[in-house]
Amino acid sequence: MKVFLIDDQKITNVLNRKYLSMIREDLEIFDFDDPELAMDALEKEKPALIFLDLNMPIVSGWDILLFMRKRKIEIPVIILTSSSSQQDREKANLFHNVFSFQLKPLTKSGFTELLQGYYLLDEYKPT
Amino acid sequence: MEVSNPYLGYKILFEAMVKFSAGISMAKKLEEISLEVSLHLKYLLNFQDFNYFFIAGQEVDCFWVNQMGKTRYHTCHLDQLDPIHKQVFESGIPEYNYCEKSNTSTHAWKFFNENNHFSLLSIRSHIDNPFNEKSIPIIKVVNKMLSARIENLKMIQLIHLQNQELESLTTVLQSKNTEIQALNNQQESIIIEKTTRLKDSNKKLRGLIQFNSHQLREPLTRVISLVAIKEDLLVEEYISDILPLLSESVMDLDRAIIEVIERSEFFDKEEK
Repeated sequence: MKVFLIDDQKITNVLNRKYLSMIREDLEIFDFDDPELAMDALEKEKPALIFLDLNMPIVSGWDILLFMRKRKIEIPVIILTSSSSQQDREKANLFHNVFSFQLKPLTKSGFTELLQGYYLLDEYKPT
Repeated sequence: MEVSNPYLGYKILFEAMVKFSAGISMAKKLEEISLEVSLHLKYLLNFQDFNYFFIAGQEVDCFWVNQMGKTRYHTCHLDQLDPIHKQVFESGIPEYNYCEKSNTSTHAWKFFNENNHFSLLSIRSHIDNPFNEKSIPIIKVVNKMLSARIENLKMIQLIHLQNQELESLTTVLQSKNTEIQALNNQQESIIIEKTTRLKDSNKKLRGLIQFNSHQLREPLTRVISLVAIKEDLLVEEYISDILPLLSESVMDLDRAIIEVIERSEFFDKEEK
């Protein structure tokens, strides 16, 4: 199962990859510190879940969300940002594929709860 | 002016009095009073020259009429009255004198009117057509009519003058109002401009704060995560994999703080 980590900070991607692989061993994790590369890879790789940062230079998280909306790419997104702005939170709600808006830092327990709480990446989702 | 039939005499006198009174009432200005007197007085009494002085304080309105129909109106100061009139004014006693050279007699009276106003009335008549002392009651009535009308006209004059003053004051007031309005408008536009500047600077400041907090939070959250992951890793792995990242993130945080300070200094300069 493929998961995309999109954050312009390499270190964050390294950390998140470590946490995710601790929780689940079956994940194929792709990390992108260049959001443009992530956009290119989206349709080809068709990941099951995306962790997305919002504040990135040149191409922002919003640009990725708009790109997905435009291309009708229906992949669940978890926003992972250091911005505590309420405005950003409300704006993110307008994208129906955004499942959660998480404030950094997200540690191991945070990731665990998130994945369990939303039954994301589960083969059998309760109806 | 003698009439044998007493009834006819009174009738003529009454009509002359009515005409005199109506004429005086018709006068719209002080200047017109003399003319009205010259038109109607000759039917009331005999005279060669008729002088009437209306005295209010030190100011005197002088009316002169002669039997030829000449008239004059002017104003003067109390001190400028000729001796006979001055004497009557000071003593209050009626004066009579006769001039043999010109065969004329002069009668002069002082009257105390309403509102502390005085008047002097004098009649010079020729021996051929002398002033009859029986006419003295008529003199009193004439004074009454003249003084009342003159006072009335002077009051109208005063009101007119005050109206003019009021009008000019209104004009001044209006122009002041316009000035005040202009000042107000100016003030208002200054306030609007200042408010706009303030709002603009607030907006910039808000943007700066948001930007700064993100700039600081981003490396800080990395540091927090990098510290927290220690629980989940072996010491060797932590030292080899995480510690260099932690060090780098702390350096990023320091750089971010320096940048924030620089930016706020730049903002200060821009605002000045």
